[in-house]
Amino acid sequence: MIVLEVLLLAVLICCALATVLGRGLVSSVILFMSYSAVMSIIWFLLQSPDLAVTEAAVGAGVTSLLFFLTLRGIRGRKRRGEDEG
Amino acid sequence: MKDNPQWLERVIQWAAGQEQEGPEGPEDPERQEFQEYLEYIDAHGYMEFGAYRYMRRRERAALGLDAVTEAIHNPPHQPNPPKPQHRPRRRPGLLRRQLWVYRVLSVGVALCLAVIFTAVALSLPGFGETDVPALNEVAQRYLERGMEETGAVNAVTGLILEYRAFDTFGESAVLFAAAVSTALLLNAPGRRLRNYRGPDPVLSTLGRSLLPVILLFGVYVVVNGHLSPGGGFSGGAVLGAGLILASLVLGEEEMDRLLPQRTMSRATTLALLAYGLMKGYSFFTGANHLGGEIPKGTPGAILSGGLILPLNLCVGVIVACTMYTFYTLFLSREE
Amino acid sequence: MLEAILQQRYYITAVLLFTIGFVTLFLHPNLLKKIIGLNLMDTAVFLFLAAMGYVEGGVAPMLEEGQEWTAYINPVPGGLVLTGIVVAVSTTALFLALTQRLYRRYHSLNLDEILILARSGEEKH
Repeated sequence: MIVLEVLLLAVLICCALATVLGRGLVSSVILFMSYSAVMSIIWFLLQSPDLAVTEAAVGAGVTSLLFFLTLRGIRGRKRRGEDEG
Repeated sequence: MKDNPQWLERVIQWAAGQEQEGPEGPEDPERQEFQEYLEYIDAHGYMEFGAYRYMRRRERAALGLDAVTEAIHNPPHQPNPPKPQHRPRRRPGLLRRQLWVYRVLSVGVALCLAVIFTAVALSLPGFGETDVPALNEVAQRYLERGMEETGAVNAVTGLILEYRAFDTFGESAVLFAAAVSTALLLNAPGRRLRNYRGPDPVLSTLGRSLLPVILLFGVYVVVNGHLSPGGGFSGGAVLGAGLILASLVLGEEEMDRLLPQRTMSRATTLALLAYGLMKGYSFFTGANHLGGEIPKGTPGAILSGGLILPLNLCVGVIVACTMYTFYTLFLSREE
Repeated sequence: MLEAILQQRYYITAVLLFTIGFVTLFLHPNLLKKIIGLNLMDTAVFLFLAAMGYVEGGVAPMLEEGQEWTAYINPVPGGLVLTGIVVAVSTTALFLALTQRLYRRYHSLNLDEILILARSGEEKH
């Protein structure tokens, strides 16, 4: 059990480092999604199933989607060279 | 990690803020011109960006070129050398000097904090021990008498919606405020809806078949919040994610017909008002609302726990609507 | 020493994540990366709180008649973190909206460049 916990925590730190050091923004956001997924497993190990459900829906779902939409909005704007009027 | 020097070099580059941009780094003409401007002031000293642009336009006019029709990022008198895809970004000397102190200081502060926190973490009472100060009489009261006082089997739900219902009202108000300010920031007057039906039939069909299951699970988590793990916050998040999936699978036009933005904001406001009305009496009587005016029912039955079930529904509606509102606002901005 | 670190593994992880997020928030010039760093700091604090509430051998607080209160984990951090996660999303959405507005004005996500442009008082169109 303790081996699994240490393994998951190590994966968590690796995910965080890769998110931060990664070169591309899209890959960073995807790594942040996997970070949230690992985090929700850890909530389950800490006997907090409600936190696990919330983290899975919110961290891996909604937050990452908002990041993706922001990136897409910025790129779409870039293509057309639109400007604030 | 085998190639240690290269990896180390990346980290040093990162810490110095000289990281190379990835393939999705911004590439618009404005930015190209700005890069040239940065290199110019690095070589020739500081100059206002507007003045630089004016100077370049004058230069081009002197060369007999039409400054209006000419593409800014491709000045003919300076043929663009074939730039490498990931060329290292340069920072103007002025800013570099100013930022140097800032970077060193922030690394120092971060290291000090890390050392202090690690020392504290190592001297805290051991993880998982029972005689920690956090496990005091408050937790004991909630766990020992929670079921008879709140009627909820799930102690966490009983805690946030009965003992600490006032704080939860504030948190719901924070969600509402965040949704309203995002709407103000991203308000797009002429919004075009697209009927996007997913990239391919496999994903679309899979999403369609998953959708009812996810929505049903969300409703289950909200309604069973006082009996099993979950509650308004967890179930509302699941429901919000389900609504976003529905918008992806069914298309925005269809979703806008089923659940227009106006309905979402009305539902949020109504749920917040209902929460305030249900708990309002206790806010005025000194927040001591464990009197038992409302029958608690048998713990374990679905209709039990006094006001916890309707409060869970309110919180679930607020959270789900806020998540979906964020999604629609961010989506409408890119058209 | 190693034993102590293994014993306090959750706290040490929380400290490391907090430091990673802190350094990113202060050093990375890209606004989106800064927001990700802030999110990392958030989750580090949540991890610390939830680990504080864990009791060895305790189960999730689904109360049963005739059960000793020491058989459960502490529900107080659970309630705190549950609301915290949802509030963290809404603040992230607000930051992202502000970032989009900045991009619309300055055509850049790089905070240093935005600062130069803002200082030079450049008004577009």
